[in-house]
Amino acid sequence: MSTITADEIRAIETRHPQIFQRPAYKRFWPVLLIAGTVLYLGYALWFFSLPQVLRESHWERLPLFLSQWISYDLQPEFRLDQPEITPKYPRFSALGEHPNPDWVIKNPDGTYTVQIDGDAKSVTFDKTRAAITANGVTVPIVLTGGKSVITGTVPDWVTVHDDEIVAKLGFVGEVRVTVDRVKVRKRFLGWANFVFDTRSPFFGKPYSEVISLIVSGPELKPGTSNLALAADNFWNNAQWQHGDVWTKLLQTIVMAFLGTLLGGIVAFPLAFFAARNITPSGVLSQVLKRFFDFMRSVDMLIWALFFTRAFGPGPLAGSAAIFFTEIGTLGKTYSEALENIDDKPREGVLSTGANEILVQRYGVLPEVVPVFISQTLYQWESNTRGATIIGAVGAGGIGLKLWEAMRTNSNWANVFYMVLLTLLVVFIFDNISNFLRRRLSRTLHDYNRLQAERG
Amino acid sequence: MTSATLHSDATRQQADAWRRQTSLRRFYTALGVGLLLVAMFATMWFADEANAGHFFDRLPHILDFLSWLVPKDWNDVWRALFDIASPSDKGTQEFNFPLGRVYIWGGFYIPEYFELMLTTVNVALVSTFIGFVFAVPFSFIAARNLTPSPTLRLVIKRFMELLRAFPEIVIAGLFAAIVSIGPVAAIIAIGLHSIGALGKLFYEINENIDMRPEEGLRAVGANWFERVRFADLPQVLPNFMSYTLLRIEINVRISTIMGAVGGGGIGEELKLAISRGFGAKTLALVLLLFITIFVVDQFSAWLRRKLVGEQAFLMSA
Amino acid sequence: MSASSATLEIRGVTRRFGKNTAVSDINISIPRGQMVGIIGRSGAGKSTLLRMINRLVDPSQGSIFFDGTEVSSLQGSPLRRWQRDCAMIFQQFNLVPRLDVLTNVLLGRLNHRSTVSNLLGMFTRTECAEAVAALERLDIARTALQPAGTLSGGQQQRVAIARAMMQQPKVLLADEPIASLDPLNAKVVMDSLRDINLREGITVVTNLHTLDTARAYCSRIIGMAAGKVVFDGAPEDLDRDTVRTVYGADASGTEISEAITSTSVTVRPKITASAGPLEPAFPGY
Repeated sequence: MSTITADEIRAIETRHPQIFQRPAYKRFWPVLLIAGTVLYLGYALWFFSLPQVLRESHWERLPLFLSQWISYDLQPEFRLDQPEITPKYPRFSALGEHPNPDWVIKNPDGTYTVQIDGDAKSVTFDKTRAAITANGVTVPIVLTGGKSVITGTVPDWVTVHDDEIVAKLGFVGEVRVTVDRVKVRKRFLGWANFVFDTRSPFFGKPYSEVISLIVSGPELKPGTSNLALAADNFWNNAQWQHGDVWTKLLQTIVMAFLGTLLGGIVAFPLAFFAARNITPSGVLSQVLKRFFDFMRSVDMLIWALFFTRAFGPGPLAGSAAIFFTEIGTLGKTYSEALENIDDKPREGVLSTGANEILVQRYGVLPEVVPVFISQTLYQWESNTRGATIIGAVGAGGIGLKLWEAMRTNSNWANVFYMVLLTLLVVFIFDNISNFLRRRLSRTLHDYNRLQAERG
Repeated sequence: MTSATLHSDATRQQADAWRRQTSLRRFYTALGVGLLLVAMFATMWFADEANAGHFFDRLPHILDFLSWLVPKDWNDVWRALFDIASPSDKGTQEFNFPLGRVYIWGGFYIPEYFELMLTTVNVALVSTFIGFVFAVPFSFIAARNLTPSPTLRLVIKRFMELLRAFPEIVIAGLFAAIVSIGPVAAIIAIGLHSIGALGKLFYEINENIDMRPEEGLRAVGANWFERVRFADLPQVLPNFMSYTLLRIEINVRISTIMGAVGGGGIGEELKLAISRGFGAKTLALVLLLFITIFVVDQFSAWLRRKLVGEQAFLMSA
Repeated sequence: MSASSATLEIRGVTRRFGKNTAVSDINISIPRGQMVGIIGRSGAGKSTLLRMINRLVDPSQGSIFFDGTEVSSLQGSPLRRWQRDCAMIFQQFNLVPRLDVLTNVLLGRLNHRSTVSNLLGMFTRTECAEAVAALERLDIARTALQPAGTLSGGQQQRVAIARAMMQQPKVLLADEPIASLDPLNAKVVMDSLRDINLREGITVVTNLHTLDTARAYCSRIIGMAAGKVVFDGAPEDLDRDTVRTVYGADASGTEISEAITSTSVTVRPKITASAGPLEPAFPGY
């Protein structure tokens, strides 16, 4: 194909004006659409004052929070103005009442060494001087003269304030030195005291010892078997609150289950009266359909808030909220499924002279029940996720607990624990529901295939 | 089956087999329903036990509870909605309607609740947009038949699954600590969730497309981007848009709830109004929220019907 | 056959799918401008062979040369350039049903342009005019703004040919182009292919499952059976015995009659009328 000349182009254009002179709105609608979207985004940027929000945000907190999800820290403090230097730990520290960690070393010459990352990152001090070692450098600090002073150059990981010297040592921790005290923060990967808290008699014992105690040890608490004691200590672990978390999780599951099931039970008969092709009265159908829309549009949040006020916070309120929303959603989907059924089986049963109820039972039910079950499972699955959120407004379940744990910004490891459990539950229930729905659709598929083969 | 044929042995055997099969099926159905009923009553009992107030204790007081909702003056509902001063105003927060006015220009103002509703809807729209923009390219990478690299496909797929299952409230809480509590944290949370939710639906659509146009363009010498743009996108775009509209409906609801836990918007105000028992304010808020959700739902349903026909309303079975 | 320029050479090409060998050790040389028909039963490996030439399928063994270049080893953008030069037409047309006919034809130009301008869908005035000219020549210009999916099979196949012409190919491969068409449209499509071959001098290789079409249109016929070439020669040389080796006899031993594989049309005058606009839309096309 050789090139085409300008005259030929003109000739073609005059022959086909409908192709080359299309109305502007048809040619430019993608451009208009994009321009509209950009305009809206600009408006949203202004509406949410995004530049300002981003300017004032603290992104440096993100890695800190995320690292707190999977780690914990210990913060020993050494008073230098006392007659003798002794490490002090905060109350409720992860080490229990009698901490004696092997990374706090009292040297023979009277100085203390705290290993933050072995000897490579450590601090050694007595009442007059301190030395912070990290990144291959040792920074000497003089503490006499009423001020903490660094002799020599200051590396960039050390910040000198008026009365305090702060050395940030990365993930593993930090050291703060003032004239009268040395504060160390040492960070450990993992979750502290996940099984037994510091008050438990099993605390700090290696697993083998715990197991041998449970199997054949003497009763630690007279009158209670060690197994029961261990289970009780685990369940009531003060820091992780396993018992409470799991109960709340169960509440979330129950809310979704109960709400969806009850919604389905109520929506089922109503859907028959709402389906245009089955209902005895068109007015009734319209009324019911508007009722379904109403229940859906009032929104789960409003129902949750109302029922929380009516029944008090807890899973009952949550179940009721899901129940009311689900009447609307399931009623709507059920009646639409009924309106889409094939009329032939129904007519067949009708032709035998069966009464109205029997017609529904044998002509309609076999067709729609698998569809109904599938849609109910789908809603159940999505309500399991939804129940987590409405819990946060007081409707019971893990949501509130999660929200409260996050509000303090300190207990991120607990948050992560609950998130993991929630993910696990969502994952399991997704798979159960998927499995059941696939089974159902296979049954449907087989049924259709058999029908087709029979002609 | 007529009575005459019943006398044949073969027929009788067949009838027996049929009866056995039916009774077995009936047994399983009854067992399933029975188990479901047991589970239902057990969970009811559990929910009731765990609740702060119990069902039968509270039932007689349900109407008492509703009584605060009935305002002394029904006109207060309109006044609350449009921020018009109320004669009942005694300086308390219950009737301080004009305080919330958002002045735009001179004496022209947007009533407080409309402004809050706008925030909630905007949160939903922006987060759905974020979800859509990321979900579309991800879905082409995650679809088995279109992916440019199987490893990348697996990574993207797992990533989207994680985003979908991760509780929005945790993402919101995390970002509330970073970008301050408010609508931006809600947008990030709902947006991330939407990426996962839309991405999953989208790549499932992608895996069901007709591959012949794709093959045709491959034979033309088109690269991956060109094939996706011209052979795949035209096929799936109506379905994508339909699911995105559905997502807007869902996100308006989620953003309301997010508001109630600090995400800004109408949810927060509604929670306050209900917990303090401000009847007129509650009714005004419920009315506004109801109308908005209803309008969004109906508009989206209308648009989806135009895009893909009745198919838009058949849930994946 | 002389190794003249722009010759398509297939040397020892084999393709296996798992344990099945679809195409086994094929050696063919097709000089420029020939119109070749490949015949054989379904499953004989005709489609696989064509797909390997266009590189939709890679050969398990052997190599394919065009104009001295080994196209069977190309990767990335050189591969896509070869695919541009080697247009392909499919039994199922493989158009994008939701896009309009004009856009479908313009898609033939994808490899001539930058990816960015392609993705934005900005085609120049000249390209649009060329696309319309191609449609005019195939007598379907009035459908230019309809979605391709709404056209009849014959019209769609003509759109596919127009798209192939927009590629400005050196070789045109057609994989059962008329198998899904009624006899009338089949004739129009085959006439267009012959016209392209005669006027542009483009090499045309087409799979056909009907013998008389091959006889009527092709100057050279290649017969394939069980992945091997069993006949290669002029249509006149294709005698009864050869036909039997190509198509085989069925289980009862009865022969395949040529009439069964026929697409001949009895209403000839009407066809010439509908295949009418063979006069070029503009000179030089």
